[in-house]
Amino acid sequence: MAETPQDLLYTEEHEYLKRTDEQNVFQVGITDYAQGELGDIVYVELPAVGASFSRMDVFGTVEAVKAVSDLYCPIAGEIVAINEALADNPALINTDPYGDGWMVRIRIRDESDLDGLLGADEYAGHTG
Amino acid sequence: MAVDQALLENAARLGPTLRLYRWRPACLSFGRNQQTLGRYDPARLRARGLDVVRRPTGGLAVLHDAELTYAVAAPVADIGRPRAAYAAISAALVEGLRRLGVGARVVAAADGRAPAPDAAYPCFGEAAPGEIAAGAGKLVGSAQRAEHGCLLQHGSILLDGDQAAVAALGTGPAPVAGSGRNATIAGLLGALPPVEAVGAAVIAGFEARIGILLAPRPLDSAERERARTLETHFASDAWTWRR
Repeated sequence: MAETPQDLLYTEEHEYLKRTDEQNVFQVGITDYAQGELGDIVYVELPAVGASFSRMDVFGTVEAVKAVSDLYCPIAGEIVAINEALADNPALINTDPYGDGWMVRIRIRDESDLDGLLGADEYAGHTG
Repeated sequence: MAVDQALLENAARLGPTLRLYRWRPACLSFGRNQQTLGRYDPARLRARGLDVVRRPTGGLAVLHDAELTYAVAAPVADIGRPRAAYAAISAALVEGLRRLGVGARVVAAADGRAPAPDAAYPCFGEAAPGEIAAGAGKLVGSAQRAEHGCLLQHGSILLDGDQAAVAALGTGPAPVAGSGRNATIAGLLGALPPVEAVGAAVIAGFEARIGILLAPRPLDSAERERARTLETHFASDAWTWRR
């Protein structure tokens, strides 16, 4: 059974947002369900720090078992950090999607954009 | 590549499509994320008379010469999520090959992880779990892309020839890992059947195993238009030699 932590926000495209200690900065990755569906992740391509995205823009790709999937930005904002460890060890996304397998940190533009995201129970309804 | 991507982008509207095609001239295709800079030399490939293209899907280098390429574009709702679709398409291909008299099998998942796109060896150097082998080698190499609730999976069904030639097209020493040999339909049957017979068998396999009845159709105007636009992208050096 895939883990879906209650304190995170989710998208139907299987990304999550996790609040950080810094105001308006969220950690973004793919959900435990998504990594399980993809299988062993062998490559991840992430944007440059400083890049800006609108909601649903493609901000990167992951490759697993020769299957390439785009990553969709869950919310409008600017990338303030990327997880450099994934370049050498993309399997972190499989082993710890909500922790060491995070992908980017994004500074959101508008707090009210968070209203469009899913809660854990709502997201779990999409994966059932 | 432009047509395959256009099929993917229109799959939500048009439903599942199976496309079969061949390449003229022969072409070396790279995976979406494959490391090619410093590994392949464009001038050397041109001198061999080869086209070069980078696929929108994953995986490693394939030489499209004595082979038949299949492409399936379908909504996830019709064909299943990526791994289920991969298994369903493999089963359809094995069924099609069986009808041709080729005893092929799906490679077991016990062999560990799929090769990373930084691997130096070609696609047919190693069979990843879920791919199709026959005799002592890999017979079909496939790769996928997921986009907005739809999937594209395409792959190369080897009719004849030796994909070890791909390693020789690189600029570095031949890789030690992934030096397995490929199987071919001609090798397995002792003679090459007409490519039309291979195509008909593949179609029959898809109809039997996936339950989708396939009727020949031309690209519709939106697909044609999109493919024309995408041609510029797939023909550009910025895309082909992106990493």
